[in-house]
Amino acid sequence: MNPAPNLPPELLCLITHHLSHQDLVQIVRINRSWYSTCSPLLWKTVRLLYTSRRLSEPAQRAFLRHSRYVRPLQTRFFRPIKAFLEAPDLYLETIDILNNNLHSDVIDPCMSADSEALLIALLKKSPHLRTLRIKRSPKVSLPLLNIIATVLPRFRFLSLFCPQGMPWVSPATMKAFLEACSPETEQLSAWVIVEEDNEEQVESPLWELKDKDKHACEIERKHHQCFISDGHDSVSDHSSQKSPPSHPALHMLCLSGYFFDHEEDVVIPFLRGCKNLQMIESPDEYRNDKCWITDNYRIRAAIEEATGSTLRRLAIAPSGAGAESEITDEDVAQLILAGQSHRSDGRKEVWHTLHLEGNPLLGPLTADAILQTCTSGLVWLNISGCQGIRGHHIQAILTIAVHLRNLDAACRGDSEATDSRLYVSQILQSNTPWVCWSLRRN
Amino acid sequence: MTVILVSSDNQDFKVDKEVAERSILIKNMLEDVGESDSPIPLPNVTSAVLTKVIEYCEHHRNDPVQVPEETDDPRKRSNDIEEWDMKFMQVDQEMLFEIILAANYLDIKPLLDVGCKTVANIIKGKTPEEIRKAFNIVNDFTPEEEAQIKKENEWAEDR
Repeated sequence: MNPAPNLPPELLCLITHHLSHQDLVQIVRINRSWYSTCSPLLWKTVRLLYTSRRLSEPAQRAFLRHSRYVRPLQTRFFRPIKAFLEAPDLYLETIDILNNNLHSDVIDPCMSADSEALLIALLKKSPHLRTLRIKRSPKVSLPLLNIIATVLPRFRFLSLFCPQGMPWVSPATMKAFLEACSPETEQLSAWVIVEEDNEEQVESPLWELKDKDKHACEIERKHHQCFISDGHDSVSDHSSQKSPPSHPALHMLCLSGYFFDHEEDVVIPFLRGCKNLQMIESPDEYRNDKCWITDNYRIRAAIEEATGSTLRRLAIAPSGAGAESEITDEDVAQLILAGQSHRSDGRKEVWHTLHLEGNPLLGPLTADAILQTCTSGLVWLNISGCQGIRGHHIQAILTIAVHLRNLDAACRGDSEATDSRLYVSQILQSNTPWVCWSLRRN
Repeated sequence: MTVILVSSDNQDFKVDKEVAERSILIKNMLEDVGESDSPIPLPNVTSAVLTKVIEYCEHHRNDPVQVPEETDDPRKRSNDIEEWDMKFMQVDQEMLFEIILAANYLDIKPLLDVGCKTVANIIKGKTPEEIRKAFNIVNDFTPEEEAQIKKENEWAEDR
């Protein structure tokens, strides 16, 4: 029997692609034919956002029956994961663990041990997983990191955020985690505390790596770590013949949190295998001396070595701070444009940081120069108090500067510019990783 | 340069090649046959439907080749029907389905899209019973089954 008179199922399928989830819920109730044609699409995306914690019997059975259709799974709750664990086969591509309260002004509890066990069991059943975003990871996430690095071969995007403090890991674990991550990884964003303390208590003795051949060298490295922290060639001694783990696809690395001076031994060897890294940041709000990983010159050198581009930083002193003559809009614009030149040895120079704050004379020319040079490398831009750089300039920069992570554009006493600037700085000051994502396509 | 299309009820339609080639099926046929005056039979399309389809192709003859943009928000997708297309699609339901089937057969992607969006717009926001009524669909579920399905999807509905 046809779904509708004269309408073949394949066309019904095309039509359903124009419908919202709410409409799909309605149309599977029309009759058997619509049910069988439209259910796969209804179940393709599962968002458990408002469902009370216990699913009814029919719903649980339906989960089992349709689990193979589910690709993205978004949930605020862990209990529904149980239904998936009994499913015969899963093809999950995305898992989003969201905050468990609807209005996130209340601080979420972290993931409990039970919940973590459920999630780990689910990850083990999801070899097709490519994206994992956890908004409330457990505080000590060793087993979770272990699973992520070792049983998800196709995994590409990771975002790990712990609402109550940051997950704690030892330097050795962090290093092993980074190196064991799938070579296809494209984006890695994790809030972590990397510290030697208490290692015996929490760290599991050995990582059980699934793909022994591929990761043999990583295991080797883990057990024979010997890094020379002040030399240029900080390669581990025993396995130096083997090629280092390579993550050619990785283009964004964000390791927020504390590193307690382990930045160099944890991050530098890993960076050497990241030839296409375009962005690395580690905003550390609590330490004034070393704010960003990239302020560490050895790390910058490793990035520059791996990617073949030179990260540059420009700081213009605020006007009125004892400067002899005020720097003009044109001066700064030329300075910015001149810095972004291809050098004769083929290395690319990119502006990584621009500190232009407190220079009210800067305006359209500077904005234009930033626009022309910010495409790939610009991560930090401070133009607060540059009253000539208007809201529309900032919007344009945000659109093009895909890696911009920190924009300070506060401006007082100029109502025309203030509105959109405020809007922008509000978004950017929010505590979310990848704040610029939502702005990228504006 | 013109092409002659023949509908299922044997009517001839003389159209510009450029217009006819909005249909990928016809475009491919013409490429395969090469220079030829022989009429192209379209046994799956009646003259009434073909008239409508040609009207559409005439209006869109100069459109650039469509690059389908994948978006995940279905609501966005069905709200962007052009005004002319919207008016064009104001036909009775039988004709609407016929146009969709013809667009599918003739491989005219933009027309197929507009047709599907139009049907989707009819479905939107309606209850199952209202949709059955709108499309003259028989409910072959038992009341128990219907209640069961409602429960199955409680996770999606509860918002």
